Amino acid sequence: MPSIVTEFIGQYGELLGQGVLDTLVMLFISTAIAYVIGTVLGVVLYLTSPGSLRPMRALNAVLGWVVNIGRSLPFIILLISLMPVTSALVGTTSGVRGVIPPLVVSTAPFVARMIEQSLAEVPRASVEAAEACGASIPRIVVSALLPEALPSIVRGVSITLIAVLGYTAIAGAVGAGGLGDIAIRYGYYRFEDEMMVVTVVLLIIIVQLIQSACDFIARKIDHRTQA
Amino acid sequence: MIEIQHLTKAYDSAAASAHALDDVSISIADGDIVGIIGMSGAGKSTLVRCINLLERPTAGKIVVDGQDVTGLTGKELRSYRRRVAMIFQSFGLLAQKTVLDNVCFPFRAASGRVTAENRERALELLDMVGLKEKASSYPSQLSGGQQQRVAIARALACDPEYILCDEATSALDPASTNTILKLLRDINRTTGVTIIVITHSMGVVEKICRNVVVLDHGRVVEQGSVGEVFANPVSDAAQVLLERVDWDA
Repeated sequence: MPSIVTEFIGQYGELLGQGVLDTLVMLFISTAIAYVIGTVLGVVLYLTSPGSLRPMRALNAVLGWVVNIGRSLPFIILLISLMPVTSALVGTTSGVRGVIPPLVVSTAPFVARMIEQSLAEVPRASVEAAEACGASIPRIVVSALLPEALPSIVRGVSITLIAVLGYTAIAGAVGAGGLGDIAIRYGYYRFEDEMMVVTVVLLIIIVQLIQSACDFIARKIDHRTQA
Repeated sequence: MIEIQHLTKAYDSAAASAHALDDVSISIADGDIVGIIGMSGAGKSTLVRCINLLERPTAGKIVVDGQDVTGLTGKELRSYRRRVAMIFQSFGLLAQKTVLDNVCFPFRAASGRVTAENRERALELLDMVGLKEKASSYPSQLSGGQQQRVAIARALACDPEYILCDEATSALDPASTNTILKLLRDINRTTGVTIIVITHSMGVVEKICRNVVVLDHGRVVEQGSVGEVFANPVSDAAQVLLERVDWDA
């Protein structure tokens, strides 16, 4: 029995290691970039919504539409239709690099809604108190809203990372590399069942780790209720 | 001196119109503790929120020390708001910041940073409200009365000329209410800050206010010194608030 395991690791260990690495690189780089863009969009959505700090009906509606359209497009369609843009941006449409732009484009609108949601959970009185202290809107966002929303934002990060992990597996179908790619090429096309099982198990482990890590951090930084 | 002149606030929706204001004129002298009292929906919160322009009046003016503040925006609005501190029914503390950082927030709002002197001043204020030892606690670790005392320390951090109290004791038990009211009265005596108290409780007015304004359906129906109004309430609203009504009628 152990010899089968050693044989398997000897044969595929390097491939799987590279797959895990590729998946994590795609996952974290595209999520990080998506958070930079999505946080800005989410803050603007929050601030411009009716009854908020700077209501702007037209801008809010247009931005809401753009975000909704971004979220409506199936990822595989987005991946293909963005190919000209992707190759202009990163010089290739395949591999880990080639999949980051479509991942960012599909994740940023999702992040925008998560951030908007987290900000909306901050009690109105806390925001008004900051306003009544004479704080400017950028000051309220940076020093009150975002820090108050942080535990909720961190919980959102776990949901986003796991959703993006799903996208990276889809991206595998068009040669992006990573565990999804291995699952399709070895597990599906070549009927190597044990490869399919191993890639799925690795993905499950990654999901569990992301969830546990984010839950732990969120609990650590949450001072809203008595510990 | 705050002069509220013909202040009117209209709302679009029928649901919100209960809180509207209709031609309210009041003047509040420096150093006074004035109570603005009325039933729920009488417009008293709207009135106090118009004073620091958290809400914009539809018509009328707010004149502070001769300056019309009604149209202030941007930087001028923010520096005006630092002269008029506010405390809220639900305290409005930042749950993710320590007590000390909450009290330091007005300094950050004013200059973008908190200096060592600011921190020292914040500790003095916490000492004054009796919570110096809670400086590094988080608001969730404090009782409601303690949280409101932190909010008072925060309000004092900008050295305000006026303090607006929007139902500041409505969420508190009688013991905490007394502590807060005593604290406000002492602050008024020692610093001369003008305090405007919004409440639906005549008990609160009786304990700390010198003058009182009775609001009913967005209008001023009675105003005068607490002694006069309590001795001889003329309006229906004041009689109900003072419980001078026949229960069996």
